[in-house]
Amino acid sequence: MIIARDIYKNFGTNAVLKGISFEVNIGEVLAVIGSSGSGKSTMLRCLNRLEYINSGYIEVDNEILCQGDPAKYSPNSVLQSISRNMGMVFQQFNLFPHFSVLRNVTVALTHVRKMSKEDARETAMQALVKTGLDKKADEYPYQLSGGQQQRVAISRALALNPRYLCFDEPTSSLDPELTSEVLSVLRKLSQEKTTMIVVTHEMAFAREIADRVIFMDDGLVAEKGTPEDIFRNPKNPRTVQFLKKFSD
Amino acid sequence: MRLFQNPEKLFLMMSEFWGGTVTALEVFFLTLLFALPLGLFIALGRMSKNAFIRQPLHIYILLMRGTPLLLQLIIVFYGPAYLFGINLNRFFAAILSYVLNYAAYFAEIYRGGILSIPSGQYEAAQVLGFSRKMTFVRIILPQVIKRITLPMSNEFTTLVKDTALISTLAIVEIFRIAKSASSQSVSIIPLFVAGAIYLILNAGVTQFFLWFEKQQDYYR
Repeated sequence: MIIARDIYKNFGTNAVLKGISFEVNIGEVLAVIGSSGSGKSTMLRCLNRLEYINSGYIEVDNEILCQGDPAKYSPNSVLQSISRNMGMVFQQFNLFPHFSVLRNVTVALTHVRKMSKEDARETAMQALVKTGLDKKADEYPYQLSGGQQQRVAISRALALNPRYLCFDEPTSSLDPELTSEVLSVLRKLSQEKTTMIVVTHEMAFAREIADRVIFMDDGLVAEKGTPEDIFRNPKNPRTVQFLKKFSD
Repeated sequence: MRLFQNPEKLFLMMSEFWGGTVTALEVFFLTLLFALPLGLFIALGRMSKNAFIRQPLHIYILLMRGTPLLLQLIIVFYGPAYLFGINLNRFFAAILSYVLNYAAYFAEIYRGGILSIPSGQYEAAQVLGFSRKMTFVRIILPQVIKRITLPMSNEFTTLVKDTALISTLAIVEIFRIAKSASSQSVSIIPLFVAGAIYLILNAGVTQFFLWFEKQQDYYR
């Protein structure tokens, strides 16, 4: 379980997270929605230490990532043990262009997890089967469509078998057709009870697969609840206003 | 055309040219051997967050790129002799000057290449658990090498021609041989021969880079 309390994060004088709290339970899909610049991605990046928070408390599976004001991060050994359980999929895929599809997935297995080449290959192929890309193992990222590239990125994260899988707007740089192929992979993962935190603009999708939804607005959690609560009976006027744009 | 009527003289000139070419190749390869890695370290230092590392290197690059290599050769060789009475080996002084000068150019090329790699590559590597060193060696550097191949080919060809400058330190090389042979035989031919040698060497450099580019064609 991830517990985050009173997270503050600013870039210089620009406050991006203004005291947000949330938790993520094992086995659930948490969708994070909200307009651009509301701090959704920053929140996700703070969990993965791609950003460091200014103050607040984050705990992952009873291990403390950071706490206090100013936030004090735990020793490296703890941070690394937490990171091992966190996977991340980016909006821009961020595949390694000079590696084949297979190597993109195996490289962390062999060089970080110190797996043998054969074991890494087997694990990677299983992860590629899950996203339906095992046949593309020997191709290079530039030879794939955006949707396929994103599915490789998902396989790359899956192969490390993280407890939490974070998605930072995974379909925002894809056209509608490619979006649906990536979403169907996420749907499959949710059926397998993979714990996922998904920052997304795909409202229908969030509503369909999320167990809980967080609506963020201007650096704050404006509203959280089940998809039913948020999409059918939003209480916060900002949520109402935001969702209205999508129903039009 | 008297040169060609005297085969003995012609043979002598050619063997001198051969010696000069070997010297040029020595300067070329030794400079690359040391300047290519040194330039990478200078580039990394130039991008350091620590101003005490970054600023001196900034000034170093400014000095090396901002003054003529010819002048640097003279200062490196004659400077220690005048100031401290230390007589450096001529060839050593020459190589030292070339390495210091070319490392500065290489450093800026590396830096440009490194800065052109999107930050997402670092982020993906970090999330996968790569150390900073592993990220640089496995992920960043291979992509940098592909991106800097073309600007590097410029520097390599310039280096071939710059080897002519070591004649300043009275080291026998292609251009010096050509000039003296030309004045002795009252002929322009030796100068053309020198030009042809540089051209042939650079044709080799060009071929190498065509091959090297092709090696990296497997990805975009």
